[in-house]
Amino acid sequence: MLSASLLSLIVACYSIPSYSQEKASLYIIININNPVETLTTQEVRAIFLSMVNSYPDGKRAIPINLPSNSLANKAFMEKVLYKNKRSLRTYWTRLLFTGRGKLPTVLKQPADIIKAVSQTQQAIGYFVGGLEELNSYEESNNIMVVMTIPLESPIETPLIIKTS
Amino acid sequence: MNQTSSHSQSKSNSGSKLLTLIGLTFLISNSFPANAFSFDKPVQLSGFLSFGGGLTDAKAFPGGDDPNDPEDEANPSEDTPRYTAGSGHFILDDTLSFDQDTKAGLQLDFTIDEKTSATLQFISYAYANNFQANLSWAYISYSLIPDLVFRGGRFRLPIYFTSDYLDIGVAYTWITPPTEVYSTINMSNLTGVDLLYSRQVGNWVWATQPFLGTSKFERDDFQSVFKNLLGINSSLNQENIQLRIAYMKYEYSIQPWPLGNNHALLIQQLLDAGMTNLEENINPNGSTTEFLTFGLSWHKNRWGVQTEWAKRNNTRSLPDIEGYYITLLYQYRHWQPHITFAARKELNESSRFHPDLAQLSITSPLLATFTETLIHSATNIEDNEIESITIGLTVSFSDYMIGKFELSEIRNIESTGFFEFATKHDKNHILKFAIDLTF
Repeated sequence: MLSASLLSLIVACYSIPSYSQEKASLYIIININNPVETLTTQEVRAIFLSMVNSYPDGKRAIPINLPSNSLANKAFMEKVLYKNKRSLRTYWTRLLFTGRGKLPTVLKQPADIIKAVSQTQQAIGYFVGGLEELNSYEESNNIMVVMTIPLESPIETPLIIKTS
Repeated sequence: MNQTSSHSQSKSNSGSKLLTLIGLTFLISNSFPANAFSFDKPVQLSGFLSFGGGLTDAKAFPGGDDPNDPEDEANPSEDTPRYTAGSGHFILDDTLSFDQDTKAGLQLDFTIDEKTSATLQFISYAYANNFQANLSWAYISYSLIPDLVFRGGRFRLPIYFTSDYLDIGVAYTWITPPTEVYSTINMSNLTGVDLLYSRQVGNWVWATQPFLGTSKFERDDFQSVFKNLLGINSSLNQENIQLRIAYMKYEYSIQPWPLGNNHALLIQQLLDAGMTNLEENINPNGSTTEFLTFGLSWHKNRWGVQTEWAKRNNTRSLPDIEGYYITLLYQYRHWQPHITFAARKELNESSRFHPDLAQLSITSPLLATFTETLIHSATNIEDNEIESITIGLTVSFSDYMIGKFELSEIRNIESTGFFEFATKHDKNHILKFAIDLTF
């Protein structure tokens, strides 16, 4: 009884991670009002590495990243950026101290990225999980998936963490 | 107020101004209201610090290595030959020194609006005025379109692969980039304007940067001035490969000219002897210099290769220089061993002197010798030819701090190499270590 109450309290106050043993995918998302319909891996990579600051149509792109200790970020580094932690760190350091480009804004949770992309026409972000979780968000109506990269191994980690 | 106290007052003022600026930065950055989707921070403060030391085993050779080589400068006081690498200041001798690779810097990036930003970078070097901070960068950027940025102010001269982050040890493998290439042009900053443009071309990203301005290189005894400096760099990037080319042209002058009383006397004697053309030839003021460099960087899995080649062509009697390096590196967990082969040589040793010098050596051998000595001493180490092999090891202590250890064998192929005076052996060694961090 006590456990059930405690659980209810946690549900009410804190986020609930949804876990999956299924093979998840890496989704690249943009705002529904962004005229861009597709992006190549190379184009996404160039935007996130600040090699270019625009979409192929010339409009400004605002990349949003997840924390470097997240599994989604690790998958993104391997599958899109083609960089390991060390080489990416060196790359960011160069970028930071050349004044030539800006590091992507980092948001803590995938839910924050979904919210930010849904509210910002120029934003581009990513998350790891399933479309069911994405569709459970109110903001999903304003989101468009431009790339899906299936991940080879199942992940045992919170997929999309809803924040209350 | 005496000169010493005036100097320390100046340093104190400089330090307090820097502290005031940093304090203001924190105030500004904390005064902006938090906005969940405000993607541009109004102010970003970043810093870097390097601590390093090193020494060389070079032994003095008082008489000079080769009496027939006028550039192989004798070292009558038997001082330990100092490895200066053309830097114009002390680098290494046989005593462990911590000055050369110890430095600290702060960078402030101000976002003014979506299109405009300003950047300031302060750097202080242990070897320069006892850590006095200097404004290394100060420029404003305006984004004309997302991928076309105009910049004006003082910024890095963008000619080499690592030019933009030359002082940021964390950003490259070596303790310092190979001197054989990176000393081909001694200046590192440019005051002027540039354009940054990039675009996606198929699977490649093409970036280019035309630039225009002036620069200076100061030593204790003279100042080099680079006017009408214009150039362009261009690079192609793909998943694991980067190709780069840069070209630059400038008008060179040296101040003061003549360099001293003896020099002035020599010039007057040349003019008195009717050697007007020869005098003009040894006068570098107003001469044009061209510079070209290529670079290639390739990484695959744990392996990486980086190479650069640079060539500088001068008019008149100044030496033409060519240098290159190739680095092979391997990454295993937190460790990254590497090996670098580098070389540099003068290309026009036999042709750069005016034909009248040969005639003068017949009519007035003493004056010809003095003239030749002057030309050599003015160009200093640039007349030399060297090769080096460096093995190094880098270890990551954390995401923001790395340690480096390097052992180099420096071979003086001709003359004193990168050493100030003749060394007893043509093979000398340098041992260096460094700790680099960013914050």
